[in-house]
Amino acid sequence: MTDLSIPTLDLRGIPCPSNSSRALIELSLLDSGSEILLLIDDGRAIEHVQDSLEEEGHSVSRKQKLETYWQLQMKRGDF
Amino acid sequence: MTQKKYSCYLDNCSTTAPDPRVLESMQPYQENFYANASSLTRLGRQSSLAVERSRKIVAQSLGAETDEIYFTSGGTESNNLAIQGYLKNFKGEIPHVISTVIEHASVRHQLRELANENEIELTLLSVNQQGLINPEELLKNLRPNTKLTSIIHGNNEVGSLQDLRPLGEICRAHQVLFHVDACQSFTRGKLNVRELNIDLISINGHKIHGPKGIGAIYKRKGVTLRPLFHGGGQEMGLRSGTYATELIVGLAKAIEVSGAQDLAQMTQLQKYFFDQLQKKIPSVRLNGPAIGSAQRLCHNLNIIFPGINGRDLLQWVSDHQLFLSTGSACSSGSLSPSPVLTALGLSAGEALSSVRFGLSKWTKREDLDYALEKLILAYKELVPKNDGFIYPHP
Repeated sequence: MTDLSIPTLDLRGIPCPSNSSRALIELSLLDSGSEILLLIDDGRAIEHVQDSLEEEGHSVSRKQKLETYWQLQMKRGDF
Repeated sequence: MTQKKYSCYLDNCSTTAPDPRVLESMQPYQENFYANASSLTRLGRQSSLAVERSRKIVAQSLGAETDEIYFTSGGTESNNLAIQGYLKNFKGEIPHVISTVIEHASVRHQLRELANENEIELTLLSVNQQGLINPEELLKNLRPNTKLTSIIHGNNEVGSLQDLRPLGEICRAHQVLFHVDACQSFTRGKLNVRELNIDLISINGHKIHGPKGIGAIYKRKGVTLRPLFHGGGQEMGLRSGTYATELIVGLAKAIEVSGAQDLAQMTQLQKYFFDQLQKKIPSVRLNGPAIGSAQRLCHNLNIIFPGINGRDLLQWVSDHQLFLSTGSACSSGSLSPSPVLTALGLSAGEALSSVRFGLSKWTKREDLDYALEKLILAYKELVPKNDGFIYPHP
């Protein structure tokens, strides 16, 4: 179930690496430990975004595949 | 030791000097983070991050969403993409387009060509003596096949600033797309696309102390534009071409360092300059709306110098390190009177006697005093030589 209290960023249709860049910008605006829900296309996009965000120290809280896209809930790293 | 010659640049409606903070922001992306912003490498992602940060800054400055901003090479491309990109949706039809008689050449010429090719029906709204359109005229000229209205916000020659609110309301109520050319007005006052019901906006960097060769278009979500050219599919396929990351970063920085306090200062200097000039040369007249009014850009002055040819005046003061223009920089090489000035009701002679002054956030009172001194000298020297000039000295 989607947590409505956390911000959502719809990255569907946004090509790589713009999708991960936009996600990183929004994560940088959050307090440490806060979360954001990302909506991401299936395929290369989900892999690229998740890898890029983890590489920058953020972590996955929840990951769920819906019909044509993914919901990826990310927690801002503590830095 | 030779003393550096004083020079005074008052051609800021043509282009502005880049802010040092803009240049500084661009440097890392020229020297180190030069990788292609579409590349998935670590270096490419750094470039992409800069592009997307910049996009967010542009979006916020217009009250738009991040994914409603697309980067272009400047105002001319943005205007062409907005108009032709939208009209490409109507293949097989002849859509009606409404614009004005005081548009920038990048709008005026493309609309004229489209009309000449019978690809559109075109209505150009007239303006009053201040260069302002009457929203009632827009309403009256709507047709069942009207698809697009394209209006310049701040006129680059006479400084008139249209009230966009009623125009946006009319367009939205009649489901006509509303494009605004805001190249001259951007950052020189509040511009919120949501509040003003704007569907498309053109902006650029070099008019606001940013770099040349960069601009952007705001496209409201749900509006379909078709690309003017094809390539790698950047900008969601709307504007192909490798990202000029350093220019994009520079555009965003120019927006960030623009300040409301500069606008009030420029308005004060506008008034000071015209008042002082009028004291020395009482016959000068201001073109466009009154200084200090909400309908005038804060950095533009367009002044008739009766009895002399503006080109002669420009040449004389240019030889004395004072840099001005007679009109739009894009058409000031033309020998015919400016169509914008004649649209305000000026005679050909009055139009040819007109000179444009463009202030910037760095213009100081001593710059204007220098300009006044040179203009008065030039006027005294040039008026007696102009016996045959078509606009008689009073």
